[in-house]
Amino acid sequence: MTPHNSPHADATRTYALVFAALLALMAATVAAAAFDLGALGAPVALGIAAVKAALVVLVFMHVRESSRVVWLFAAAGLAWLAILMSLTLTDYLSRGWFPDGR
Amino acid sequence: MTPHASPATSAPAPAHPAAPHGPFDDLDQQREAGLLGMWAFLATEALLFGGLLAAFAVYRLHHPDAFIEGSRHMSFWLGALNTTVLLTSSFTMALALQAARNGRRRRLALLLLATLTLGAGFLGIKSIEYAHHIHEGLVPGAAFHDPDAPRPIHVGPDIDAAFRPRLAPAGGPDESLLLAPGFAQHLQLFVVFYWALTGLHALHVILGLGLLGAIALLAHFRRLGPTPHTCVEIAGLYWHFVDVVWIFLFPVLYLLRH
Repeated sequence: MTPHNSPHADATRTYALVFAALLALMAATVAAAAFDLGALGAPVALGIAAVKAALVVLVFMHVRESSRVVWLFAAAGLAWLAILMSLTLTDYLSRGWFPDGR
Repeated sequence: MTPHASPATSAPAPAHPAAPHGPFDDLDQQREAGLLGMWAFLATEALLFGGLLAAFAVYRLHHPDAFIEGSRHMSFWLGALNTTVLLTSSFTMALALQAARNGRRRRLALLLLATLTLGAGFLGIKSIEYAHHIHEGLVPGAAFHDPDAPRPIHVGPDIDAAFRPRLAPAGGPDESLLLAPGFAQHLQLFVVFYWALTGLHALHVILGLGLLGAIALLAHFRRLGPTPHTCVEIAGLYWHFVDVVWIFLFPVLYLLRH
């Protein structure tokens, strides 16, 4: 067994708490979807999703208690994905800003 | 995964029962290498789905009306149920890893079985959705039909009709929207993205179920080496990732409907 395991009873409690939080976030998702939030609709839905994903990655995937190298690999994946999304969107979101075709 | 020892290259059997296999100094390093390998793979998977999602984002920016209409045709409750099913399966997977670390083999087997059942449940609910979409005509390709438009009456065999893009005839709930040029094609584009994204994800779920099943069997027959929890941990990373992908697919495909 690896020596740096935290006490196992605590881990079950942590997982249960995170699962409860995930269910609460699901309820929030359902509640938010009932209203037409206009321009806020996408950020709210995706924001709640980001919080759920962060909980799964940090706690269930144990990134929060992992070595720095594991953090680096996980963060690198996220960083390159962020570059893909943001640079693509800066192109398309800025179409038509300059009417003379610049 | 824990590599099997090859007799030609392993060092003489050490007195300590738990020795690493291969070029590792100790079991901790072996475990770390396994984890990093899986994380590197998951990063490539994130970019795989990310590429599809970036393309989806671009098309949604250009054709918001048709994409919103597409989202409205998705079953919100089945999608929410599926999300909850996968979140629960991540919970049982985390508990399974803990059982493996504690050496509780029977508990590990039960929790892996629970995860497998929930994953299969996800696929079952997805099939119900797919069947509904096929019945409505929300499929990519020539069989596409806008569900809000009345079906055209066929007077005879028309081979070309299968290859001609179908424009929605008048009479739907929001006539001006349905008659907008290209609306049906853009709705079809949403449908293509929906099937590509959820189909690719479902393929990952199927592979994940196979992986978990194999690990459950190997664990049962004690074939996972001196540190079986490492195998469970690495498989768990893959399963949690599949859950994270769906956590984002659900709002993107089902919830952006206003």
